[in-house]
Amino acid sequence: MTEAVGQRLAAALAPLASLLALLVLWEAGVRWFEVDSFLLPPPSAIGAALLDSAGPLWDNSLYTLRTFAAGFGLSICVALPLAVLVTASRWLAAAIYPLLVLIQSIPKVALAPILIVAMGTSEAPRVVITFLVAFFPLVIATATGLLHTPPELLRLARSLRASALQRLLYIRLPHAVPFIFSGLKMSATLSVIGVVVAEFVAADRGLGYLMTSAMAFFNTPLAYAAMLLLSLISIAAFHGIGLLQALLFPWSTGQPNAAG
Amino acid sequence: MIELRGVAHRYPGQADEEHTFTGVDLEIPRHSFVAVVGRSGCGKSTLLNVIAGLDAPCAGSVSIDGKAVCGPPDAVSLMFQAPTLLPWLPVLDNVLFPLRIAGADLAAGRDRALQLLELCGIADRARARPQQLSGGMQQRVALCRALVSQPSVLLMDEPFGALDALTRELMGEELLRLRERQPQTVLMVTHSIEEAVLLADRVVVMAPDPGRIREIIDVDLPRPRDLAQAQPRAVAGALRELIFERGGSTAHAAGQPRVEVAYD
Repeated sequence: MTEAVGQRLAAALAPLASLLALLVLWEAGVRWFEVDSFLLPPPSAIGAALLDSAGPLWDNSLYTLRTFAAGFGLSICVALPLAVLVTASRWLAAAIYPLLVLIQSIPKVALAPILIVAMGTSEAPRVVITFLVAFFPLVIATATGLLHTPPELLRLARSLRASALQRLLYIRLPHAVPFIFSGLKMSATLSVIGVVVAEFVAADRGLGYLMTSAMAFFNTPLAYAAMLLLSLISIAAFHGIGLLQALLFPWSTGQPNAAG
Repeated sequence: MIELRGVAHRYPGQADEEHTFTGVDLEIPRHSFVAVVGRSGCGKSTLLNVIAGLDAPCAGSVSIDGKAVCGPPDAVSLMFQAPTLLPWLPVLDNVLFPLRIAGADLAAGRDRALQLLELCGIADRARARPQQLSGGMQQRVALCRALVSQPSVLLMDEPFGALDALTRELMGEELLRLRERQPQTVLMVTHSIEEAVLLADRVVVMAPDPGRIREIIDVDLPRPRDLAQAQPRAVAGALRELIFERGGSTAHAAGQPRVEVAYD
């Protein structure tokens, strides 16, 4: 028992140790070779920037989080019904699918300046850009889950005279849950990228804006600090979704002992 | 009573002469237990699907209690070779699933479901997930699910085929015990001659190319049956010869073939 705990502790400490080693190496290298801070700031300078600018970083994080939540939320609201539609009939699939692929094939970074002009400098274009970057993988993942429902389960439903709606609600959607959650994870991390792209192009607040304005003044440590926070948002969203899945749908995580 | 008159089936795209099965006449009296045996490719599973209303015949008529089958009929339950349980539902909710789909009273069904689980000896697993159960337990849950709606007809497609020999024997006994409480008409497709002899009142032997009924044998033996006894062994031997076409006649096209096995 204690041996197992020790092993788990060692497994948890291993990435921390390697991260620490990397930071020490980084710090030592920058100091040794006397690299200018605006080219590559040492970790200590980034840490100092985090503390010194804690206020602005916090405010801008909240702003970025708001756009992230709106864009990601919009992705979910559009992607799930769209996936159901695409899988509902051959005709709908033929009608909608090419449009989806067309939208996906447009480089969203290139679309950002155009959308800003078209929609003005409000929050709306940033939400739309985030949505456009994030929604496609969620549609694909959900549609895959819905289409890959085991045929024997559908046969069971048919033998029970289940309606199309019942088949969707009781068989296809539950079966798609693990697929939906892996789509959500992809979509969430892409949403963070979408927000930053939008804030690069046009924003007066947010971590993306903070990064560009910091770099305009060669305040590289602050830009790194903002980037660190963006990564944290992305990681938190990814693991938060995994946690949500384990809490709400324990059977879908592939662990047979996760009984409800 | 289940009645089949001149029923034939072929899959879309199959040529006219390539029937899955053809010319099937069969009467299954109410509350009887009929087994269908035959080599693979004789269309026995498809025959079951046609009776279940999941596949449409290309000729002939199927009726259950005088009502023509067109789509999955009421009061008929289907059981497959795989348990086909919903992994996201606990055992009890899996058993209740047919009632949920039918919009039936779940409160009354819950008692019945628990009683069925109790009879199958898995009442203590009612809250477990299907994937936590062994294959035999999962198939017991599937049996409870098939019975929870109190069907008058139970169609079983090699229901115990994926289980080990011991579990399989136990499941057969359990099925007979459950039928004593609530007798249904049972049609069971099986690839086990022994299972057919031990369980069925009547055995339909099918032959392939094209699928057709070769013989129908009444198994008029007292229960419980034991293959160590001479009579059931004799029936099993006769069935084996029919399946591998070593005995009997194949000219059965006219009328309903019926062979009386000479016991001893």
